[in-house]
Amino acid sequence: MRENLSAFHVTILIFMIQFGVVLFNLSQIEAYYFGMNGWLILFVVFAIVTLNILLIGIVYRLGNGRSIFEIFEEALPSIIRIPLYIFLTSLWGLLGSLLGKQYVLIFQMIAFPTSSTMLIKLLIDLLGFYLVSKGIYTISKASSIFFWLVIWTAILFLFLMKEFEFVRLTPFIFREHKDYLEGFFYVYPAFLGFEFSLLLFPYVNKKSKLIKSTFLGNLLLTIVYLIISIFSFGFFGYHLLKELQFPMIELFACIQLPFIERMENIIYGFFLCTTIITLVFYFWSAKEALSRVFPKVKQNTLGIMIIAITYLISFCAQVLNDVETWLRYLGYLEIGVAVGLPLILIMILLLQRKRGGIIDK
Amino acid sequence: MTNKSFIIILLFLLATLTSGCRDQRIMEKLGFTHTVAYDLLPNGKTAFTLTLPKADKNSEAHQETLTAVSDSYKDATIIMGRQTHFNLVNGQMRNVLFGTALAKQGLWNHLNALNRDPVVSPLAKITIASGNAGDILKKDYKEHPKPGKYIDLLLDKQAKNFASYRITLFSFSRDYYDDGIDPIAPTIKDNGDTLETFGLALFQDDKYVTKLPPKDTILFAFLTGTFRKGNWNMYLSEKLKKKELVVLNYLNSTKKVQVTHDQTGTPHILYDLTLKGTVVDYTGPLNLSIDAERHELEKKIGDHVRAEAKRMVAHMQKYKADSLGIGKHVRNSMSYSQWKKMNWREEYPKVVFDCKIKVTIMEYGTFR
Repeated sequence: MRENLSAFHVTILIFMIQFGVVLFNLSQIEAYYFGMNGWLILFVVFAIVTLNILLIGIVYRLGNGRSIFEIFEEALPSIIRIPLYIFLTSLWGLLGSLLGKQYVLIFQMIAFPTSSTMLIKLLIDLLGFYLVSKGIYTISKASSIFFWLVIWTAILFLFLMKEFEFVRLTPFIFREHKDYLEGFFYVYPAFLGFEFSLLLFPYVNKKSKLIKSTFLGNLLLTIVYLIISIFSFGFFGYHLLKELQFPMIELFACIQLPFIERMENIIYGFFLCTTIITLVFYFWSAKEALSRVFPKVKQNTLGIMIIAITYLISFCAQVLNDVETWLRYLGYLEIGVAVGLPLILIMILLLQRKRGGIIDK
Repeated sequence: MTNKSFIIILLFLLATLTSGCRDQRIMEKLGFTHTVAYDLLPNGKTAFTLTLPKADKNSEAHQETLTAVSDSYKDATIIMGRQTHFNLVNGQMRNVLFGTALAKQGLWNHLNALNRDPVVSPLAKITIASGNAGDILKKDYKEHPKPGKYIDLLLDKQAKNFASYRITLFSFSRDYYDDGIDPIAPTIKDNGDTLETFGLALFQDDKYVTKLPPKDTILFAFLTGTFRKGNWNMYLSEKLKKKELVVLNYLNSTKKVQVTHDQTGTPHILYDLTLKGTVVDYTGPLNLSIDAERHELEKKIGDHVRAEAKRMVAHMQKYKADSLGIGKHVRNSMSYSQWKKMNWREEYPKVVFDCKIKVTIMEYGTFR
């Protein structure tokens, strides 16, 4: 009997894919691009993401839960299909690889600054590969465990409550903002990851309530982002916040317990858990797409190929700013995929339906 | 055991053991900067003094003191590094001490450099030394710990009782950036054989402009709403024959701030405060076990605090230092464009300040 992902696992998995290193500077982006009380933009982004998830829901409904690759294969000739798959593989593979590199580079700001970046990245990629090779069920179970390993850090904010002031939030909304659109394209990638529920179609049944679970995962993410953002605005104040490189690291650095301080060094280590789920899922998705191009090659070989090639490519982006620039452009493409892929699929499915290709149940 | 798992275990062991060979940090070879003092020299350069606590059994001294003259702290550490066999590291920096002369000139360049370095803790304390800061670090206070440690412990203890303040690199920077408040920092003074916390230094942006005497620190804490516990002594009357002193303890306070604007647009600030506490000492004519007389004392305390608060705020207004953060409340009471149009630094001295205080004496000891 085929195993199916449970609703709870899908929720946590989607949350963990979305949740990542971007958390560390999200509130700074909000302050810089949207000005005072920039955290309000999260509501707008949440609404747009919800619409985007609804698009995916339509695909699921119209396609009766068939894999998106099957839908493509029925409708598109291989001359269009294969470049599309290669494009998706490269995009997802590179995103996974560079997210890992971004994590390592930030990590090296606080620990092991003289070690070789690529060596540490190699270790993370190896871990990633092991998880990818185990398949989607293991990834989702691992993500549930990792979820608890990360989420407890929220309790630590209680130690900072006395430094929080509502007065610092100011009553002004989006004053001193910069370009909204540019800011939007910085904030939206923080939510990316929900689009992978497209790839989960074959692994769920009705009980998994895929779309509802994806929505809940995204809701949970929004709530976490909101808490952290509001807290950052009231803790640092708008003017300092927009100057900070990584407000979250600064927040953790301000926690002082009787037996420990400089907590950021330990806490940042825990965030490897969420980063690894994010990058593993990108690698896994890349592998899924590539296996449609080379159906005869073993899955693990494909996984190694993707991770190895993107590892080599990631040598090109040397410093944090380079990596962030790359991630930004890849993020634009990924936004395109998140919106475009469901739209294309809906068009295909509607055309098929018109031709009577699919009989409605 | 299969060949494959053997190799995996071997690799794992190799990885765990050899990873310790990179990026070594050996405690005995590191000099942990504990306290750094910055002083302005007549030629415009800065003199840096730093202390390293030593845990070396073979050495008599418990502290190493290094000095260098330079423009930036980072450059100075390179010069000081030439004078010691330790590798200087800043991860354990506890206290940054500034001489008065430098503080008057402005601290932001130096603080910004510390902020930029991810190694330096945002919780490093900022303190102003009355006079020369480096001299304090070089001194030996015989009956006390070494100066670096002494200052650190003294400030922490005093801050707990609100007899002084704990200002960190982070909180100073935050108030520096915020447009509705100016930073403060605790002051210490060398008394010959001892050190003493000596009130608060008030800043205008990053420039030290005036100070509050030690007796005002609790009043200051009360007005910022952070006050929780401590001894607060007030002379309700200082007439020679009828000296009336009251000491309050275990206080609890709340604060609400109301802002109104009169026809000319001048902001009126009203602090609505409550104060609950225990009387631990009282040398006056009133009998506290009689309700009416106790209420009279409550009113007297309230009037006294109100007068003191107005005096203190007037002093801050005179020096244009908005250390209480009145600007934050004024800002929040206006529209954004009005706030931007207003030059807060110039408007601040014109602000009309008043407060309303409700005092409750919870108890007055075991004697009636």
